[in-house]
Amino acid sequence: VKILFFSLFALGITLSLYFYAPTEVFIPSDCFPQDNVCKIKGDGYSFSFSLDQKKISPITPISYSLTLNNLTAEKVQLLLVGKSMHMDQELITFDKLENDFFTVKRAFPKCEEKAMVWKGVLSIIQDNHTVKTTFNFRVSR
Amino acid sequence: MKKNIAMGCLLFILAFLGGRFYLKNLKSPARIDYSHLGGDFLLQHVTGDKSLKDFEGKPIVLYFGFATCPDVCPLSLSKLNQVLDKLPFEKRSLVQKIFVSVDYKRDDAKKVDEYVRFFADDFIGLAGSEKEILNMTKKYAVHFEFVPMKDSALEFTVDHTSRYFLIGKNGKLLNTYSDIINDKSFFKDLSRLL
Repeated sequence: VKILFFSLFALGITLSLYFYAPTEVFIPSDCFPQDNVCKIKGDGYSFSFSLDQKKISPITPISYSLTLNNLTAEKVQLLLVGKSMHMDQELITFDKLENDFFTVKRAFPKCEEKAMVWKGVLSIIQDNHTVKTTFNFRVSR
Repeated sequence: MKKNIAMGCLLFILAFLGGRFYLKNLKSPARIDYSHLGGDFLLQHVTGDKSLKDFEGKPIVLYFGFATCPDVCPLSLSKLNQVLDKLPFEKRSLVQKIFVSVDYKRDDAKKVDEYVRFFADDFIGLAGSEKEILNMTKKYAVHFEFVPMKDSALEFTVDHTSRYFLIGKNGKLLNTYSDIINDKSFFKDLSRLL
């Protein structure tokens, strides 16, 4: 009886994991959004990511915009990682203006004389499913 | 027998619903955990050596820059004043603003003090030796780099992290912010400490 109880308990856990465990899709991209609007397609998902400025400078905050084409999201976050230095990370949470449109305005966290590249990991978070992709940001004074 | 079947079904349902509840509530973090950063330091102020412990009991807003910084530092310090001005006067004075110069080659305590007083009388300006600055910037994950400028009397400038560090009354680093004007969480977090 104890083995049966344990098996039923384990079955319950396994089924909940099967149906509700968070899943993640990664769509590879090496787009520089300050050069062009980044139109990302993959795994049945489609969305556009853009900036309001061609030049990213630490003095002027930039607006990031994300338009979702065939998906909705609860939350959108951008994790910035300086590629060539020890500066830890920066997490930016977007404001949801519409179900398919997210935006946020932020300054970059580095005063630069020399240009450098940051990696941005964009997470489009649905109920228990996350779509991720990456962008590059070239920052200079 | 019936009792055992009922008990088994109950266990199955509890395990399934418990797992579902747990997994549904697994949210992505709203902020980065910076608990591995921060910590004590020993730097020089015009009045003598200062360490983090000297400011215990006050929330601290810490910024790294240098005294000959042409634009980003003055702008950042002005923005800090602008945000702090939104606090009631009696609360504003409870916040300790600290500016640390990463330019150990040119800046001493006197120069940094003169620089920060241009922005506010209650600003604490700190300088340090190469070893002291390297030690502190490593602890706070602050990057800086001397960049030669050929046609300038200054000879070099300093690339550096432009970020505000919010430190709690107990000296623990709570969060960092790159944009305190557009990111309203800085003001909310600071107000919560007062």
